[in-house]
Amino acid sequence: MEADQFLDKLNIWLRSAIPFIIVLLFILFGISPTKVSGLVEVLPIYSIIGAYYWSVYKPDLFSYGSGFSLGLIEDILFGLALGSSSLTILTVQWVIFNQQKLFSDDSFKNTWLAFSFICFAALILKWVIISILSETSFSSLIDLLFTYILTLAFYPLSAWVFTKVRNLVFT
Amino acid sequence: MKQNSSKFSRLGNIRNFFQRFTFITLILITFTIMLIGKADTFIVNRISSAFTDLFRPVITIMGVPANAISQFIKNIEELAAIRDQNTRLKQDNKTLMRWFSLASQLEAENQQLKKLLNVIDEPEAEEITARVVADTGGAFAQSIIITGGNKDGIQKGQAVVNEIGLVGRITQVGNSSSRVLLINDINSRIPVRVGDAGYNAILSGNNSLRPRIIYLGLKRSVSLGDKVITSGDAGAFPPGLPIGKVVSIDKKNILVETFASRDKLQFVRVLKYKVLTDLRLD
Repeated sequence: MEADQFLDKLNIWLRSAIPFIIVLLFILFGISPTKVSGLVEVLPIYSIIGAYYWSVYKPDLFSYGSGFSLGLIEDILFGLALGSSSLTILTVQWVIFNQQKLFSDDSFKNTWLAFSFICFAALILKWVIISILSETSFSSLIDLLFTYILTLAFYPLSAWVFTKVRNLVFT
Repeated sequence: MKQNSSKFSRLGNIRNFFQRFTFITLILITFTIMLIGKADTFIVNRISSAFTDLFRPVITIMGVPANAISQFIKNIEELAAIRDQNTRLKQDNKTLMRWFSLASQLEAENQQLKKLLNVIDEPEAEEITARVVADTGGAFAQSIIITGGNKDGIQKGQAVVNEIGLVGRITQVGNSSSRVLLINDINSRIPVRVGDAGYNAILSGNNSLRPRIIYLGLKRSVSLGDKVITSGDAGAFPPGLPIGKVVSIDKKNILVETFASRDKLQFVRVLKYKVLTDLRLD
């Protein structure tokens, strides 16, 4: 009986951790050396895609704590100024949680459009924070633009995977 | 009914308050982490290295499908270019054979002259070969994570090269993994010599594929194609490591194309270079 209870609790815990784990896996997949010319220099920011998607569709399972932890892990793994990604993700989540009506549209096109604005603001914020914390000259805006385009382009595929997982685990 | 709805709204208010409280607390923690990161790089580096060590096995496993995909794309690219590559390699081989014979002659001559002049040789650098497990490219930072750490004798500041030229330097050392800051990262500054005249300058990363040369001096002329090598100043890197060649010169920037291609980094060598630093001031 106790074992059943434990397994039930474990099951609930694992299910609630799925959004966090899947975004973490995306981040880890992103830093695997691809060795494809042109792709290694600019990467999509999976943490922003993941934080946006799960904050919109499963806000109860993707809290500020999850966003903060993912940001910190990303900073450590990417060797970025500590706190830069956490602050960016927390800001993204704050906007989504406070304007839920704007983002709770069923149409994929509208969600993607909303993502394009959020992502743009998030990248600019991250760029400013890193430039201030690193005490170096601001990095190239063209690279930032490529990162933005690539992140936007990767959103549909990532959202498709997230939706499959969401349907599989939560319905 | 009315009682129920007021109960729900009260619960909602509590949840909102809790959410707002968490948000503000986490923002404060984030700013504290930022401050600690700025003030005490030693502790932050230790924690980051330990964390990277922890994630290394997972990154390695995640790299398996990514490697398979990239290998597949690479194979297609290579198949398409195989005929051209063969012709080019034959031509390169002829040229290299000529250079090899000339280099052997010059090396012998150099050794003789050094012996005559009693020149003290540069200390030889020991090498450790390491595998690249993660490539954290992007618009914000350019670094890689390699296998090998403290226990293999890797130390912060050591130069990292591949078979063609300088790749970067070690900035973080864990127990079993290390971070290499690539030469094109915006925080990278390397003392270099430019061209046959060997002008001293600094190679400064800008997060793009082409780092730029700074502090060259106004009257020094540089031409397209001039080679850029490490100067060995400050004793951080061995002198003479090939870095790249000048590919663009305009009023604002002198840009360098690096020899070490980022997408071909699979194994790298860490140079355990020690400069003779036993000078004593009396």
